[in-house]
Amino acid sequence: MFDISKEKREIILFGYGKLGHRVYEMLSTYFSKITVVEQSDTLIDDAKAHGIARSFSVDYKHDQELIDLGLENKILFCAMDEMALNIFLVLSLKSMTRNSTIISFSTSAENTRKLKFIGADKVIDIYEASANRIVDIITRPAVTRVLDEIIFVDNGISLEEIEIPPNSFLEDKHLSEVDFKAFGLILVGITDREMGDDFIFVSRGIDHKFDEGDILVLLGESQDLDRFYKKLHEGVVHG
Amino acid sequence: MKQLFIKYLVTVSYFLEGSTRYKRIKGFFNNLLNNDDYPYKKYFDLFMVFIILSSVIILVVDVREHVAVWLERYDFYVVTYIFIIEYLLRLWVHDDMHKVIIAQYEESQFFEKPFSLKRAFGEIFENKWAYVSSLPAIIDLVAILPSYREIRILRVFVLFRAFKMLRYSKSLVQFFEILRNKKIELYALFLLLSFFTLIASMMIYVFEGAGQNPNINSLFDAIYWAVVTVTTVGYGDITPVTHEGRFVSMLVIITGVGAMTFLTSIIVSAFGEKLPEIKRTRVLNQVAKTRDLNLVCGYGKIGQILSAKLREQGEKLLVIENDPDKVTKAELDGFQVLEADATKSETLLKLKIDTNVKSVIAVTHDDIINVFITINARSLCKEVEIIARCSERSVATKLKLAGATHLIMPEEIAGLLGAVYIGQPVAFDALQAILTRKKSARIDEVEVKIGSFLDGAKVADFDFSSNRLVLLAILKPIGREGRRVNHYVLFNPPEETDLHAGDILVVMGYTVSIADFKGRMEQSVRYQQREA
Repeated sequence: MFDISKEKREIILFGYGKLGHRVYEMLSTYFSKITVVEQSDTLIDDAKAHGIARSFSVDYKHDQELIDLGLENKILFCAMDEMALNIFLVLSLKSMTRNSTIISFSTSAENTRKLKFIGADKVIDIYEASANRIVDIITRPAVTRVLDEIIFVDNGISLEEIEIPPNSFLEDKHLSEVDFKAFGLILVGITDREMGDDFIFVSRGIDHKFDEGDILVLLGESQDLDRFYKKLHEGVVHG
Repeated sequence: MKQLFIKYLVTVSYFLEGSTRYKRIKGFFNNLLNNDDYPYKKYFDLFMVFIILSSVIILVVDVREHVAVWLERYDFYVVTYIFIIEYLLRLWVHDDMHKVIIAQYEESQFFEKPFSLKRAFGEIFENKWAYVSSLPAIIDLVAILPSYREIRILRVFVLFRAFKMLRYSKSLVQFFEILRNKKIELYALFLLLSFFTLIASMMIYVFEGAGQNPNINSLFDAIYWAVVTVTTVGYGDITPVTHEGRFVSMLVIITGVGAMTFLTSIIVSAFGEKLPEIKRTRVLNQVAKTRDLNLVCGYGKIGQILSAKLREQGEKLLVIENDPDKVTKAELDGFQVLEADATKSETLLKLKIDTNVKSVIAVTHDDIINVFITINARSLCKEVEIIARCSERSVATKLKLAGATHLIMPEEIAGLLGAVYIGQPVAFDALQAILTRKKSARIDEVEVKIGSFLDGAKVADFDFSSNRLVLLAILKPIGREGRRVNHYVLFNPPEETDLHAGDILVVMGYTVSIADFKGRMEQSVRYQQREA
């Protein structure tokens, strides 16, 4: 999490049932500002008992109550156990906000389609994700092992995205001129602002020219990533 | 003299008991004749069916035209002798004579009684008689008879040669097995019909047998008429002429139609009841020879998506489900389904979990059932890969204890994906693309083959980047556990890293580049072999 602005973003998690509870556990290891919202009072009591101070009981049918939560510029996570509620919620939230990211869970391809149709920014199909993982374990065990080490296991190796600041040492250099291996890093791909927000995999073989604002997706150990991040910001003229 | 004979008999028996060669030979014939799982039995069965068909054809053609002499000789010598040899072999492998003698001898030694030849042979005879008097053995014996040409009536027994084919055809045997389950109903119907036919034939005989009907001259004619009518066949060669006779006819016809419908319904319902079992046997037979089978236990939401994706990847899979509705759904989706309970060891044993199964995937919606499946599978096979789904954290530890290789916690995976997405949307999308392979960039694994160009080389020896590949990691083997090899992961390996056969390279790149790299690996191995 090298981009400070992202970590600052607040998350509102809707739902603290079976699914929401687990999602909270996962999110809280990465983010600190999480608000939990539920319809059911008993579940909110649960949340309070788990030490979540910022938890509120809200009736989703009352728009004003939702608006009062302050939805703008936040990440809105819909993780209600009941799919119909998620769809309803996404629809309500979409109509109330402009600058928020709405993420919703889905339990079937049909719900995914509906959620995307009504404007969720990201839909995560719980069962498809699980099925994908099982398929990977069976068909590509080594790949899965490596990805696990990156994502699941806390061994310092991670996949991070780093934005190139203005006037950095990478400015106007070509991909072939920079030896990422010397930093102990693997460059997976780049998102180029000039070329639209398309993600370019390095392995495509384009000799990309780095500019400020490009987002590099790098794989490596935390300290190497740290070092690289600092080097990138060295000599950056502020102001 | 008697003592000498007994001594000789016992010595031979002990010799046979101790001889591995004898046991191996006997085991081979037993497998060939009786073991459906024995791979060569199929060829033996085919051979026998061919022999039977050829002999039946020869005998039938011989009824009106004379067949060539060599064919007659073939029928007499080859076929008959093969049948006799088969009969004797079956008699031989049915049980072990020498074991009876040894048992009797040891018993007599223990009680210090004299060895009774009579008792020993009595028991041997009893055992063998049990085989000789069984229906298949009788058919076998009778099938040998038609070779004796001098008695023409024996030719009828050609039929028994056809019956003999039953032995070599599983589905025909199954058909009779199914009917056997309706024995009582069929017996009742048969009794009723015989009784009714008897009454009807007597009635028609009484009314028309005294010269009224020129076609009915004996009780046999009357019975013949009754049977033809009651079975609704109605040839019409004998028709009643008197009013009384016609009245009897009407009754017989109505009863006959009823009885035939009843018979049909008995057979249909017998099959209906047995259908799941027939399906199960068929599925088991189909997968019996499949290796690397993935067992998807539970056809719920995950099971459905998973099965479809595995099929897409060309993996062999079998769905195991015990809910009939879900079984039907899986069948409609075109998967092989076994309607069975995966928590029962019998189910997994039938599927030969030891040799044929690559992975057991427990994805039912119930955590506890998944734990059961895991325990069941692990207790039967130490090496099989077990992937189990669970929702509760507390169950996760139990699943690990039970022996699951991988745990799938849908809520956790979903939460993690959410967290990754919030933190790094670009990386997330990249990862998603790689994982779901919707775009053409992907991560794949390539094993360093023995004797390939990378075996014994260094990472620097191959220019990954100019081949448009990114080497992410190397998995190096560290010891093995049965079939499973354990690896440690070496991330972003430095240039001087040595490569050896068995290492797995995890590379990222576009489908073409990866295919090219894999091709190069294969080719270099082949090239090496040719040189050698």
